[in-house]
Order: sequence, then structure tokens, then C-alpha cells
Amino acid sequence: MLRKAYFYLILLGALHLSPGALAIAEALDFAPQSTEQQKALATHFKAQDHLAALSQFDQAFGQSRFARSVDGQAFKAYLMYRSGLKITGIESLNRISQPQQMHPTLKKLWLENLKVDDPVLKHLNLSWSPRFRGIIPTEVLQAQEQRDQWNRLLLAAANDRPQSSLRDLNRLRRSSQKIFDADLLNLTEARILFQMNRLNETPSLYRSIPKSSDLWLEAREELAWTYLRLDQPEKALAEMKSLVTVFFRHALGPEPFVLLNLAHLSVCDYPAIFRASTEFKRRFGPRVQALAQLESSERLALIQSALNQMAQGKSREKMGELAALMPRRMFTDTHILHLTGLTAQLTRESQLLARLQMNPLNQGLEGRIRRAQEQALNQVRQLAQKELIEIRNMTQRLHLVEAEVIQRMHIESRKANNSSRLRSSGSPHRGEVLSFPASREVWRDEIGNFVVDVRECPRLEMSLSQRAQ
Amino acid sequence: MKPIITLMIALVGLGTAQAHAQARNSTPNPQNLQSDLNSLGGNEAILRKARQMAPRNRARIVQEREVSRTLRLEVAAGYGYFAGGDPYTLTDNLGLQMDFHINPRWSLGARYYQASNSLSREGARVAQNAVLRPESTFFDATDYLKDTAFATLSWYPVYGKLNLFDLRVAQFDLYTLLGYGQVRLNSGSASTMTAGGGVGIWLTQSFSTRLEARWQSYTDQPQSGPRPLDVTVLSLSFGFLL
Repeated sequence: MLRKAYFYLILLGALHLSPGALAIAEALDFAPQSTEQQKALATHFKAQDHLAALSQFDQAFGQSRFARSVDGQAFKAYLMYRSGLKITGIESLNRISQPQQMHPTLKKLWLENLKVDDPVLKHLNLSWSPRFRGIIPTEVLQAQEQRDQWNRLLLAAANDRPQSSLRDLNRLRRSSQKIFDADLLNLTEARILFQMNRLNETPSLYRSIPKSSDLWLEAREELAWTYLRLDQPEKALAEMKSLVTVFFRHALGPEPFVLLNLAHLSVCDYPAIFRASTEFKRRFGPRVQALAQLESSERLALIQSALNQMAQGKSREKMGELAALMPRRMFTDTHILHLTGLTAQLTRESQLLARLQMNPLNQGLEGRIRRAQEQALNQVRQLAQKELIEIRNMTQRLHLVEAEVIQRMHIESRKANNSSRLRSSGSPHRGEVLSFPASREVWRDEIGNFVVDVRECPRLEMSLSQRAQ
Repeated sequence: MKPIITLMIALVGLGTAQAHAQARNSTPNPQNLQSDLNSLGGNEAILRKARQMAPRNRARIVQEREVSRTLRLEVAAGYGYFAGGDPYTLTDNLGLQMDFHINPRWSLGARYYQASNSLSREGARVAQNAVLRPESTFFDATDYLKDTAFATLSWYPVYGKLNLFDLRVAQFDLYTLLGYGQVRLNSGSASTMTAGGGVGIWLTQSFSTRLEARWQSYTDQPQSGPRPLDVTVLSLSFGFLL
């Protein structure tokens, strides 16, 4: 009898101390496991069924001391994150005020499973205190530091302290940062140098941005402005020839047309000024109508459709004619990109919470989704208004250029003009190059390869005082 | 009194500047903006005068060659069709050609073609008659081409580009060529000269195609005696650029 009892005691002990039981005990050494629900949760957790574990959490721990503790909050946040409720999970983790008190096992779980390249981290503009070191990957904290550095350098430039901005930018370049790509850094450096009037150093930076980059269009426009400031209108014209082609008609704003006309004015190419103004009218006339109509309720569905497509990751080119009706900057606006990404993820989480019947959390999420959608809609309308203001301001400037042209045509003569030599903007290419005459038809491979040869403006035949006599 | 007037002027100025700034940043009335836009472009009289004053500036496209052909070897396989020559035979050839591009303007090459021959309709008719008449010397009288080998020098003076179905742009060069070599005939060997031209299309960094038309001259030896022949060879080849 004693032997049987001894045998059963050993068996019982072995069952409790089996590898599975040991592993569960180790994995959840930070959480109590005395009740059946707590044990069930532990089993689901061990089996990596985080969704099932999460659904058991409120029953297992309710409003107990553990649930209110740092470990309890961190554990629930972890289960949410691993179940697909990423935003809710990360935000819950971020709200913990004393994360350093977290159990080492939980810290390890977060460190191993929160990926620095998780797109959800981009959607959330969260600030992490240094107390989360050892809990979230170091790269996340470093990325935050680098983003702060970036914002500081942009602020310094905006507050007319470009030297300080340039120093911060060079420091950022030398660091091991991966969040800002080289094209953005080059473009920003070029802008800072432009602000410092170091114009001769900017063309190489603008040219370093390849055609495949989203920033190429902006870079070339700013390069054209640089050439105009450097009194090289033929080079500015060469750049603008690529930008005003039909390929960029939806992406190009009204300001390049002012630049184009100023460059034409520098070389006294008056017919070209009127041609550019006509093209401006042709492009932006329908645009004004489309943007003004975005205020109306009929267009609400269209805006929502465009935002939904952006949330699904569709680019402007794939949206077809719908993109032409939207504000130009909508597709690169960081606030709208943040809101559409956030809305998409929150919607997924809301559907999951509905399945789990976690209604209080879900109601909060639904409210957030509605607010994010309203904010995105308002942002689109604000962008439309800004674009209308921009078109109006540029139209006024174009009128000024035309007025200047009319005045000049009254006092100039063309006798000196046709005999002057052509001055070339030159080509950056070396060696054997192919040269074709530019025509109305522009082929895709010709973008960025224009060269413009201009003549000098005519000198006045006699001085104005002589004319007055 | 003066300070008060100065202050009033300053306040009015400030108010005007602020109003101007607010006006600049206020959303424009779409109808007003539309009519502002429509008035751009000047009236006809101004436009006519402007056109008379056109400075005749010039815009060009200057771009690098997509496919560099400096110190590159091109190896191709081609098919050629002979037009002219012996009226009783139809000849075509398959062969290999190599061109060493010194630069985009000049290349040196070598070609080898193997010919295949068949009777033309007229030749078949005459051959049929010859079969029926044992005294006919038709079969002994004919001579035909077996293979050709020659060296070439090509000059590429003209370039251009093709839009291939809006998918990509391919650059091409028109070229002329001169060649000298040997033909092997049924009767023996003879020297040959060739001259012609074609178009080389550089499809990608590694692939090319050529369409060529050339005159070739050699002397064959039918039973009746030496006979100079002038043929036109039309050929198509596909190659690799190494």
C-alpha cells in the first residue's frame, strides 16, 4: 500500500513537473496560474494561440491586482500585439508609466517580437521614453532620436539658422540612420545651401537624385530655380522642358510655369511666354473647377474612394482619372498618409475586437476610426483650398510677366537679336552622345535630357533719354 | 500733431498689409479665378507682334547612347537570301558573323556563310528536259555556291531611335559596309567583293539585330567558261553584344 501511494505520489509529481508544465511555468513566471481560466490562458499562450489567450484574459484576471500591475498591462498589451491588435497593443505598452518594473521575461518577449520595420510603428507617432530601453528594440529608440534630430534641423532652417541645420544634417548623415534615404538627405542639403546662397554647390546635389525617385520632379524644379538665380536661363529652360511634358501633367503645380516664363523673359522669348500662359490656362482651368467642387457633398464619395484606395496602398498612377480630381499634394501629404494607414489598421483591429466581443475597446476604436476619417477628409479639403490659392497667386504673377512683356515689346527693337550667337545650356553627358531636335512629341527617354540654345536679348538701339527727346 | 499723423499712417499701412496678406491667403472665388485664367495669353495683336520678335532659340535632346559600342564584340547568326546570279539556281545562306566595334562609328568584321541551293522554276524546267535528253550537258554546265567567307569594314554615320510599341525605345544605326574574301564553288574557290548597307538595332545592352542589303560579286566557272556574277543578298541576323 505504501509502495502504491509512493508510486502515485511520484507520478503526480512527474505530471506536475513534466516538460510541458515546466515550460508553461517558465513562460508565464510573471502571471498567477491558480484558477482554471488562468491555466487555460497559460495553455493557449504556450501553444502560441495569442488570440485565444487574449480572449481568456478578462475572465482569468479581470480587475485583479495583477491586471492593474505593470506586468499585467504589459502582458495584455503583448497578447493584443501578437493577436493582430497591433495599434492597441503598442499604444497600451506606451502608456505604461513605469516600464522598467516589468518582469524580465516580458521585457524579453517584447524585445524579440516587436520588429523595428513593423509598418504600424510608422502609423503611430508615439514618443518613447528612455525607460523603454531593453523592452523595445534599440533601433526604435534610435529612430525616434533621429526623427527628433530631423525635425530640429528643419525647424532651424525655417527659423533662418541654416548653418545649424546643415551641421545637424551632416551629423545625421554620419550616423547609422536608415529611416531617411539618401535622396531626401541630398535634397534637403541642396535646399539648405540654396538658403545660404551657396548656389554653385546645389546643382550636383539636385542632379544626384535619380529619375526613379519620388523626389526627382521637385529636385529638378528647384534646380531650375537655382539656374535662374545663377543667371543661366538656358539651363533653367532645359530643365523645365522636361517638367512641363504631358508625363507630369497631374503632378506638376502652377509655380513651374512662373519659373518657365521668367526664364523665357530673361532670354526675351516672348512668343514662348504666351504659349506657356496658354498651356497654363489649359491645364489649370479644369483643375480650378475640380478643386472648387471638392467642397460639395457630391464629391464626398469620390474623396472617400481616393482615401480608401490610398489606404490599400494604390499609387496615384493606378487611380486613373480619380487622381486628377484630387488635390495634387494629397498623395504625398504625410498627415493623410498617416491617417489612411492608421484607419486601415484600426479597421482591421475593430473587426477582430468585434469577433472577440471586446465591445468597450471596440467602441473606442470605432470612435477613433471616425475621427481619423474626418481628419483625412478635412485635410483633403484644406489641400484643395491651398492649391486654389496657389493657382490664383501664380496666375497673378503670370499676368505681371505678361505686362512686362507688353511694355518691353513697345520699347525694344529686334535688329540686334537675330545676329547674336546661340548660347548653349550644355549637356552633362560626356563622350559620344546622340542629339535629336526637340519637337512637340516627347518620348519618355528624353525626360531630363534637354539642352536649350538661346540668343542674347537685344540691346536698346538708343537710350531711353534719347527716345524721350 | 506730427507723431499722431505718423502713427495713423503707420496703422493704416499695417492694416493694409494685413488685409493684403489675408486676401492672399483667402480661398479665391472660383468664377473670378476662372476669368483671371482665361485672360492669360494676351490678345491677338500682342501675340502677332510677339511672333514677329521670335528669337529663334533652339531646343535639342542630347542623350547618351543606351548601348555602348566602344570596344565591344558582336556575334550574330544570320540568314541571307540571294537575288540575281545564276538564273537556274535559288541560293540562300545561313552563317555566323562577328563584328568588333572599335567605336560607335566603325567596326571590323568577319563573316562565314554556308549556302544551300535549289533549282529555280526555270532551272527545274530545263533540268526536266535535260533528263529526257541524255546528250544534254545541263548538269555539268552549272556551277553553284557552297560557302562564303569575308572580312568587312563597316561605317555607321547615321543614328536614330525607335519607339517599340510604347514599351521601350531602341536606338539604331544605319551603316555601310565593304568586304573582301573568298567563295567556294562547286568548281573551286574564287575571290569575292561585297558592299552594301543596313540598319543595326541595339535592342538591349546584350542583344542586337541587323537588316542588311548588299551587293556581292564573284566569278564562277560553268562549263561555258568564267562568268562574273553580281548578286544581291538580303539578310537578317540576331546577335549578342559581349
